Amino acid sequence: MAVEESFLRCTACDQEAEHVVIYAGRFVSEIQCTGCGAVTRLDVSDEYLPDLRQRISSKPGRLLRRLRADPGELASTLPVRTLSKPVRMVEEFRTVWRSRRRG
Amino acid sequence: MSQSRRHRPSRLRGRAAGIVLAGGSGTRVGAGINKAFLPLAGRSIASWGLNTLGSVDGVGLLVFVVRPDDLEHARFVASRESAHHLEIITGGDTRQESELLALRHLADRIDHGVIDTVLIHDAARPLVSHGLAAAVLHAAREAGGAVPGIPAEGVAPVDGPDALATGAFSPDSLLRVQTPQGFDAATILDAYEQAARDGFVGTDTASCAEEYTDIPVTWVRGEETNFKITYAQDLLLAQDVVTALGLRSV
Repeated sequence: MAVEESFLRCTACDQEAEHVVIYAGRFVSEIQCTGCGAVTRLDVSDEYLPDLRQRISSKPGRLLRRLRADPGELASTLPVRTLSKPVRMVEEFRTVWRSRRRG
Repeated sequence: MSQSRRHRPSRLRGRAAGIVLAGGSGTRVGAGINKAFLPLAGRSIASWGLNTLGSVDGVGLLVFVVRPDDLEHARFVASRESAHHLEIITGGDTRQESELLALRHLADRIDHGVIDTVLIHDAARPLVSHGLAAAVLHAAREAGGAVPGIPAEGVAPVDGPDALATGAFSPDSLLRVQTPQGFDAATILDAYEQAARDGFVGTDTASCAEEYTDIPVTWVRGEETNFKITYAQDLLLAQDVVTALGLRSV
């Protein structure tokens, strides 16, 4: 799960305000306007698993490209990213599950 | 590993330059990230347009114009999300100033004929198609300037229908203007320099071209999917389009 904040115009209050965007994998699962509090939630469970399969299958290629482009950057970030991956995946599954119940 | 076998972003070949503007997207003090760097289906919104412009035959150079605060994000896009080499520069406070700075960045190459055409694109329009960008480039080379637009059907003035009756504007003649907008590089550089001297601020590249050049601007049929991410829901719509079209990061 990733959380980003950015200024967007709100469909509900039509004001530009900071929005909290929650991602489940590559998919936006929730957007909240911090101005008026309007929340949009999406059930991304149907799209998530096929996309997860694609992410897994393309991972070796993506790592190889990063290795060729900048071995130092990969070597410095990969250990921490690998160790934190299980936790991040659990958070991602939880986000998908929440989107399923709410969506 | 030998240097020659190393993966590097591809160098483009062509005399057109693509300029992607992320300078003014979502700029607010205290905000999170610039919306141009929000992820869309696995990579930043800006990278979609950059990769599309870079894939067009004839585009030999990509300039990515960002805020100083976004330089780190821009470098990430260049190293991880772009298939092409990017020249990253910082923009100004307004869209027009950012365009001027991008054109000045290219000025030497424009003067020497290395760059003959520029395609100027909003980073917040991630779903521009290869076909539309190629059509704009072709039309710009033929006519001197080209702007994509969609007839604004079903438009009514908020002041009421009387405004239409006055003939102030006709809904049939209204267009929703999009990007990328293509122009003869030397002409548009001169136009922006003159506009800067005059203090003229236009709404987009075409408005400056209209004010300071006599080059004919051709309309190219735009695309409904080439919308600008403005509303929060636009992000969801873009995600739906990416999923429906089977586009995704690799």
